[in-house]
Amino acid sequence: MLNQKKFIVSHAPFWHNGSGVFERSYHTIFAVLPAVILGIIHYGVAALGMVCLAVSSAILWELAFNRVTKQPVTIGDGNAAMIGIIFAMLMPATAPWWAVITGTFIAVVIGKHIFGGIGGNPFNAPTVAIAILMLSWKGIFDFDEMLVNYELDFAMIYPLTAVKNFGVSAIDVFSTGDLLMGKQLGGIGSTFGLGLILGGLYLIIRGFIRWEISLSFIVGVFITALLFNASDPAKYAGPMFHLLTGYTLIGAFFLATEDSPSPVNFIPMILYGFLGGMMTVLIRNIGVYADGVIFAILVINLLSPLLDKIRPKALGSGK
Amino acid sequence: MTSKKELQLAYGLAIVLLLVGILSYTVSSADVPEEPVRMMFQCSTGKVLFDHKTHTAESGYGLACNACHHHPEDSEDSPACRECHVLPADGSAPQICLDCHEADEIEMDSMMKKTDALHQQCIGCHKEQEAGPVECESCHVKYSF
Repeated sequence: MLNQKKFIVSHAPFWHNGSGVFERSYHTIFAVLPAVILGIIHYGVAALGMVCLAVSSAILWELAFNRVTKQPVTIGDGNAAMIGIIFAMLMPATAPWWAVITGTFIAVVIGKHIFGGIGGNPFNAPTVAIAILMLSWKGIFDFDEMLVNYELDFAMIYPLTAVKNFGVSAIDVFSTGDLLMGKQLGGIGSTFGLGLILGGLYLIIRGFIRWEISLSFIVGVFITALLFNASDPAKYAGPMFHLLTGYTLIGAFFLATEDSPSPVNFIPMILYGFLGGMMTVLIRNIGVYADGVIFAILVINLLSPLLDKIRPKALGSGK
Repeated sequence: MTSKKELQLAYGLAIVLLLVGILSYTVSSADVPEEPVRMMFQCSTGKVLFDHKTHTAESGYGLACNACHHHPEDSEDSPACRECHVLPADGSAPQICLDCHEADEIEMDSMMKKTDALHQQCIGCHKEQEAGPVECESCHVKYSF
């Protein structure tokens, strides 16, 4: 009885399934491509230039940091490129070049490397960059102003500022189907709802992101928006509108789900996502910003270590 | 550990995308339409998004240029509102006035400031046509991002 074997582990070397940071990064880039391509179709060369500059400058900032700190070159893992493309997806197509280069510097160096690189960052790197740019040059994120010269086949007003300033009657021009198909102003890769959902599902199925976080974030947005809408339908938009506008879907699938700044256990993940969704709608409806996703994700990133304290009881501990 | 192929891919991406990015920025920076589509007026009481094309296009309100850009009446040019209605702080006449008029011909007291001119132009027309917003908060936004 005393010699009963309960847990057997073979000694090293272990077999590796071949998946690493490289696969994770490039699969994520692949997953966001539909949303990015629609953005380039909508906004043309300006959007193409922005995406290219963001990806290349993110890689070059990482290379420069590696060289300056005399660390091994890590750009081969594709993480910098992934940060660059997700950052670009959140920006308006006409963002000035210096804002792109500054943003990728913040994301790669301040958001990631000064915390020790992959796995050490307490916040999602592109989210940190967007938050700092938003607070420093707020005009860049006024999509109505940045995109004044574009004329596409849909209402050319940013849905979230329209509803916040003029109430629900101002968003009658947007149908759910149009929003899902990206017929709205916004960041170049954050408006194509269907593309983002498909990309997110692909990453969930491949095991790169956790469905618990994405789903609970979406549920958080849905329930909170539903309650606000029920309290005053003329002032607060319905849940589907909040789900399909602004940064909601890119936040749910590509920002909140990063491993390092998110919890690891089931209940913490559910709470983390739900709080993020709830905070998003609270900021949108009663805060001073039209979109709340960026700040909501920074807040839940901050809560992540606290949520990780909720742990399953250790087997056999007797307490 | 990063393999050589992975590094080569990253270097290749960085160089190629940098070149495409610089080229695209150069091309797109010159890509501004001759006639505005929409305009964002920066105001102390909140920005105003003005849909210029809806006012001028035949499928919209079909207004002629000089319906708003009213001076000089027979000119084919449409000077921007600010060229006449942003008045120099020293009390002198705007340069565009002096291009055609002598300084003593211009009655500066009757020249409207840009805010008054735009308010009169927009609200006056909306009231006259019984269409379009006339209340402050229907145009000026409190939250811009």
